[in-house]
Order: sequence, then C-alpha cells, then structure tokens
Amino acid sequence: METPEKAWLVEYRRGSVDAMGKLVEHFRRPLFGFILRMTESREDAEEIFQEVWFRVIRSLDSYREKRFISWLFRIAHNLIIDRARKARPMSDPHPAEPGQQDEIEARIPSPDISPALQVEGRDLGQRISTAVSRLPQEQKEVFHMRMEGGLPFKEIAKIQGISINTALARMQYALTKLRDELKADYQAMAGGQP
Amino acid sequence: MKCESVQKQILLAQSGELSWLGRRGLLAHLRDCASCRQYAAALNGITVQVHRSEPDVAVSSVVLDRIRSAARKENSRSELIHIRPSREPFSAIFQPAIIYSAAAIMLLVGSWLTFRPVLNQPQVVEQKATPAIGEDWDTASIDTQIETLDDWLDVASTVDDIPTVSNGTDNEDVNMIARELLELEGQQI
Repeated sequence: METPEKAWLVEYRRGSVDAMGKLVEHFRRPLFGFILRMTESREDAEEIFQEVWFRVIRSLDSYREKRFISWLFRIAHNLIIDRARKARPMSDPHPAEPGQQDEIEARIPSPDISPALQVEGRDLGQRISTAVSRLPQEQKEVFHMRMEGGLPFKEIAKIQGISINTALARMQYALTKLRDELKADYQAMAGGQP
Repeated sequence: MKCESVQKQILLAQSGELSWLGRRGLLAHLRDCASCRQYAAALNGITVQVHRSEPDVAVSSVVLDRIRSAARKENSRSELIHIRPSREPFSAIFQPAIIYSAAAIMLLVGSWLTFRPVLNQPQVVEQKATPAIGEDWDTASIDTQIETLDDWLDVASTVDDIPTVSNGTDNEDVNMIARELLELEGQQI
C-alpha cells in the first residue's frame, strides 16, 4: 500500500515546500514524543527535532530506508547520543561513584525535572513514565522506540546496532523493571486485583 | 516452551513480527499458562497508559518555520543545480571522452598486432633470397640435360630396332655404337 509520506516526498522533490510541512506534521507526535522523553529539556528536544529535519532535507537524495519513520528515528538516535557525549564534561561536576552509573545513564534526566513529567497528576501513565525514565538509556530507548514510534524490533535492533534478540531482551528487562516498580498497578493491568 | 521465550514472542506478536505459525504456538501456550497471559495483558495495559500520558508534543512555531525555510532553500538550490549545465558532474562530462579515448587506444593496439607480421615481412623475404638454392638451380642446364637424354633415348630406340633393320657389317658397327651410347646413358642417369 502506498504510504502518504512517499507521496509527500515525491511532491517535495518536485518543488512543493508544503509537502515537507505535511511530512513534519505527520511525524511530529511520534518523533518529538520520543526525543522529548530521551532528552533533558524541551529546548534540547526542539533543537534535536529541528536538526533531524535539517538532515533529512539535506540528505533526502540518499534516503534508502524501507520506512521513513525508521530513518527519522535513526537520525534522532545518533543526535541524542552525540549530544549526551558532548554535554557530559560540562554537566559532570559531581561525577557518579564508580560502578553506580555509566556515561550515558548519567544523562538520564531526573523524573522531578523532566519536562515530560512536569505535568500535574499522579495517574498510572505518569507513574509508568517515571519508572521508564529511571531505566538505563538503551532500555529506555528501546521502550520508547517501540511505544512512541511503533517501530518493529527488527528496525530498533538495526538503529541500535544490536541483534533482534538483544533488542527483545532490553524490552523484557525494561518491563521487568516496570513490574517491580509498579507492583500493584502492574497486577491491575495484568488482570489481577489492584 | 519456556515462558521467557514466550514473552519474547508476545513482544514480537504485538509488533507484528511473529509468523503465523509462531502465533499459533503462542496462542496454544497462552491457553495453558496464566503467567504469560498476565504478561501479555500487562504489556497491552502499559502501551495504552503510555499513549494516554503522552507529553505535550507541540513544537514551537519558530522551529517549524526554520524547517520550512530550510526546505525552501534546499529546494531552490536543487532547482539551480538542475538549471546550470556547468554543475553537471565530472563523470557526465568526461565519461564520453574517456570511452572514445579507450576505444581509439584499443583500435591502435589491435591494428598494430594485426599488421605486425606484414611489417616484418622483408626479413622473411631476405631469408628466402639469401640461400644459394635459387642461384645454383640452373634451369637452363636442366633443360639441356633433358634434351640430351631425349636424344639418347631416341638413339636407343633406334638401336633396339637394329636387329630387325640391320643387314651386313655396317649394321654391326652401328649396333656397337648404340650399345656404347646406352652404356653412356646409364652412367649419366
């Protein structure tokens, strides 16, 4: 089946800037939602979101991916890693104790200050978000790529440069952590008594 | 089937990556395993809750304007590239020239290889001319010898007829001469 993004890409290549606007709008929710959950602040997320689209515009001729959304997430994934690496020396005045957290984990935002978690309320969704934000970066990324982007594990594995089995294991581990943190809520969702 | 591997199958089934056969096996397992059923239900519950608690995904208009502006700029640049013939890639300009040059070189090499024996022919002719065979082979003397031989044969045939035609002493002399001639002929041959 012909996806709308393919038609918009063709239109854009023929000179329609509006077609690019449609593409940006179409992928805004999954892409920006993913970036927002993976970064520390909304400003960072907007910068990365903007850079993703700049790169898409610049290198549209080299686009060969099967799915456009996978390409977007791949670019976003690379930019998030780059940003975390660059920002590390600046935001590392109080280094974590050895063995406590790895380099990328040190960049995981505190649930209290994360813009994604600033919304009022103590509903289940918020508790899940809080629990997910505490996961190691690579597990969190798999979780959000799957949940926000709806990417299949095969493509998540490609983006992260791992085997599909490892991607599945990371997701399993993330869910196990959630189960441990959200004991009563998990039981309720699983069909047991809350 | 172990529940750990079944849980992976549940994840794959949710992402639409499990085969038809795999789904059949998974359903069969879920019928009997309460723990895996709970896992699948919890996964669905978490997915729903994550979508419900979605953060504000509105992007500022400044960012969107920048993206549109970049798209417009890139598009106009691409148009310019298409208009200007001087922006044609190097290969597009020089490719025909390279092909023609290669063809010409191959033609030259082929010609040289083909006509090289002809160019060397004078040496072969000289080799044929230099031996003394041609010079020593005196065809005139051969002809003379053949004629002489014919004459002798004629005489010989006459000699053979001698007994039938000869009468008297003159004939005996002739016969003797003829025999001598025959002997001579044999020596010559």
